[in-house]
Amino acid sequence: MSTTETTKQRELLTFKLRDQEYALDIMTVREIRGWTRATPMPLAPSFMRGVINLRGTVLPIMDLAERLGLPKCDQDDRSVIVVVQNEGSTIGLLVDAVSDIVTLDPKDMQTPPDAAVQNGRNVIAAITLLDNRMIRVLDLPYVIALPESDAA
Amino acid sequence: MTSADPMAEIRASFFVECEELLEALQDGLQALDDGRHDEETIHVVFRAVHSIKGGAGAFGFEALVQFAHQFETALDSIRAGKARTTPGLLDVFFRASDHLSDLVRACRNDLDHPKSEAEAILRELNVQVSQASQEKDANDNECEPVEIESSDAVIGEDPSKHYVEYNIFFEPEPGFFETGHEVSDVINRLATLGEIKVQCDSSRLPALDQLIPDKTYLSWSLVLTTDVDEAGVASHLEFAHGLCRMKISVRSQCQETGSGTTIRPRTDDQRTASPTPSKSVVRVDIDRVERLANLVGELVINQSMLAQSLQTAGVSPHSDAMYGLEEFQRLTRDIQDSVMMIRAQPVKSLFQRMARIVREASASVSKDVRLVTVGEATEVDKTVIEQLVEPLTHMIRNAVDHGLEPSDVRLAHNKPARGEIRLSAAHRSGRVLIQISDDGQGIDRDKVLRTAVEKGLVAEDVAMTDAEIDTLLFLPGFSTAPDVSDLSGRGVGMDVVRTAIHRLGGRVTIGSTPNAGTTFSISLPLTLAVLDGMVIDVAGETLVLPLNTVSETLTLSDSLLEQIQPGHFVVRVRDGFVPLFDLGAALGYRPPCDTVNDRIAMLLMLEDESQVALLVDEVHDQRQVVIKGLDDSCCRPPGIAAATILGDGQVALILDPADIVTNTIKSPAPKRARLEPQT
Repeated sequence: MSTTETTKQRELLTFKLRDQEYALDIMTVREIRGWTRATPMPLAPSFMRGVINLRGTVLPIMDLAERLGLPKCDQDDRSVIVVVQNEGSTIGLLVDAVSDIVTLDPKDMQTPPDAAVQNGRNVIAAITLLDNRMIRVLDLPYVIALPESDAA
Repeated sequence: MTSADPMAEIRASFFVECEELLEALQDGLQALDDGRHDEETIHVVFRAVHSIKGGAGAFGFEALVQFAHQFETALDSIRAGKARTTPGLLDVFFRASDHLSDLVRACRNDLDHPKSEAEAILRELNVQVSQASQEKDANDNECEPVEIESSDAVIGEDPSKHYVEYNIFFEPEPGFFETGHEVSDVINRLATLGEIKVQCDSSRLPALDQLIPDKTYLSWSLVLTTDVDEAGVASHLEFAHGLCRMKISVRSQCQETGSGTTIRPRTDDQRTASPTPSKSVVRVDIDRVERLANLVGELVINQSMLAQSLQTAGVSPHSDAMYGLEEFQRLTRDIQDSVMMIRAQPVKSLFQRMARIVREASASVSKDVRLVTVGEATEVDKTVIEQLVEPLTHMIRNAVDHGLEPSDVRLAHNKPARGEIRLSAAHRSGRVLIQISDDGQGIDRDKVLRTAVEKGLVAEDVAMTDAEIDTLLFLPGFSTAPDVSDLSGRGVGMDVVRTAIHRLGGRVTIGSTPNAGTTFSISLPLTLAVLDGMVIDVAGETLVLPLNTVSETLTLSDSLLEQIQPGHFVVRVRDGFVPLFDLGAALGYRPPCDTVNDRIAMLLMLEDESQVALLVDEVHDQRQVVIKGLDDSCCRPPGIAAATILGDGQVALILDPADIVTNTIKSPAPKRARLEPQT
């Protein structure tokens, strides 16, 4: 294997939301921590769960399932917060469970069909198959950007 | 993160120095403008420009060097007493100093700066200097004493030349070479002043195998024969100050000075002494201070955690542990105050920048404007000062452009032709109050209302109070200026100001009297780090109210409550009525409650001295909390100023009562006017 191929490979963190599997580029993930009660923010979009104390900084928490429009369900003990960083802003994503870290070749990733498009841009950057399960790779910057229309 | 380039660091420190020098320059020019023509002030001004030139030369900033050199030459003619400071000359000096700071900024950011401006200023500088020197010559013929003459300047003054021999001992330290200086520069510089004899002392030079390359071993003894006074000699070596051991002493005077002035050998200390003896200062990276401030914040949180756990452990309040804790709390507070003091800076630098804005703005609309500043020594957190620059600039420009009338109109209204803008800063009950007032025409409320109606911001038939009309100015996209001028009137003005102030946790209000002027008041928290707060509970959520707004707590009963219109209640407090807001409902935590019997309300006094009552569920205690800014990514909701971390590790939100009242409950009048037809 030549070096150029290695650098092209992407490591992804896979996690579960409801019964679906999603993935994020591992380089955007800062840490993973257990669920603690978030202080709700008044008048915030419903997918913003509120803020928690992450070692002295105030971290906003986004309910990823709700952001993606998945059915509502209460979090249990296995719910975790994936702390991600994108262009200087740090945010916690609430997911049901973290599964694995996988290494994938870009050629194994497929462009998702147009049906998944939301507001002209796709929240899912790519889809891929792993042991016969479909993994949806998220477009993080788009997911955590707060759409103005939703922020009512 | 930082580049490994060692020059970058040195350059950075040069620019820090430049800022200080530019400030000294401004101060000096201001002093001259105020009519203080003492010699020392002129020296300070001269030295500032000179040091900038010296440093710039070392880094090869050609444009800066050239400009500084010309500026210096002009200043030198004042310093040497060849010219007098005329108002016209001072005006050019101010502009030159503004341009100098522009050039410094351009060098720092590696930008090009248009040469034409420099040339124009320099041309005028020359004209003014020659005029001023002619004036001075004319005055000299009448044998009028020259103000700036004093004992020290005499030597340089008389063309009959008193040559003085100076012994100069010069021993560079490693820092001298690290900052890119050369000994030959020093000698060449001195050689320009007169005859020089150089002797190098290499006696301390060790054998080659013991030589440490980054140590210095050589020293020089110079004998300089010159007609320049000692301060002049010293100023030529100023760039090396602190980087070498240097001693200048007078060896002999070749000619009697005649006037009986003796030249005292001066020490380094005397040379650098400025009219106000400067305190010794340590330059610290702001990041380190931030870190310290954060740590103190953690300490405060930790301490409240400790207090809470001692309490739950059932420790008696009269035990040693509790007394110790009290002491601990006192110390924490002291440490905190001290750390805040490090970050606090006088608003002077900010006001100085505004003075420049006034100069530029008034020149571009050709109005005669005087800026009066009050309370320059008021200290405010450094970050606050930095973030105030933009909004203040905006407001000052607005005041010059819209606030003040042209001179002829002013005269017609029996006002002095020269407009006045007052910029003041003061501490008011735990906050900083910054006011910008002009003595202009005031807000034309009819016009404001008309424009707002035209732009569809308010419904046509809405009756609004004066204060409400004034607030319209802050709406996005609002501008009453008939023509878009260079200065302001692009319609992005005041709402940007308000957003910027809000981001700092502050508020801005307007007061205006027709024909007497307009006053903008900005009220800011003293620090962005700590707050005395009242911890309350609403709908199961813990919230913090800034203590300085709380005036009392009330226990409500339905009989005290009156409804004035559906959904709006007032509560009777002694003889007055105060509007009551249900905090839980306002924040969307729960639906409005039906009864207020036995509920608690906090009576708040807002900055504009209006009172409101907030319905809360429970009041805990008052406590010092550490302010944690909310990231922009989770869009700070209205009514929430910031967050804090409580003793149990939970995040609690800090409320901004005035914001709640204006934004979340009583939706602003224009909005309501537009929404009503739809609902």
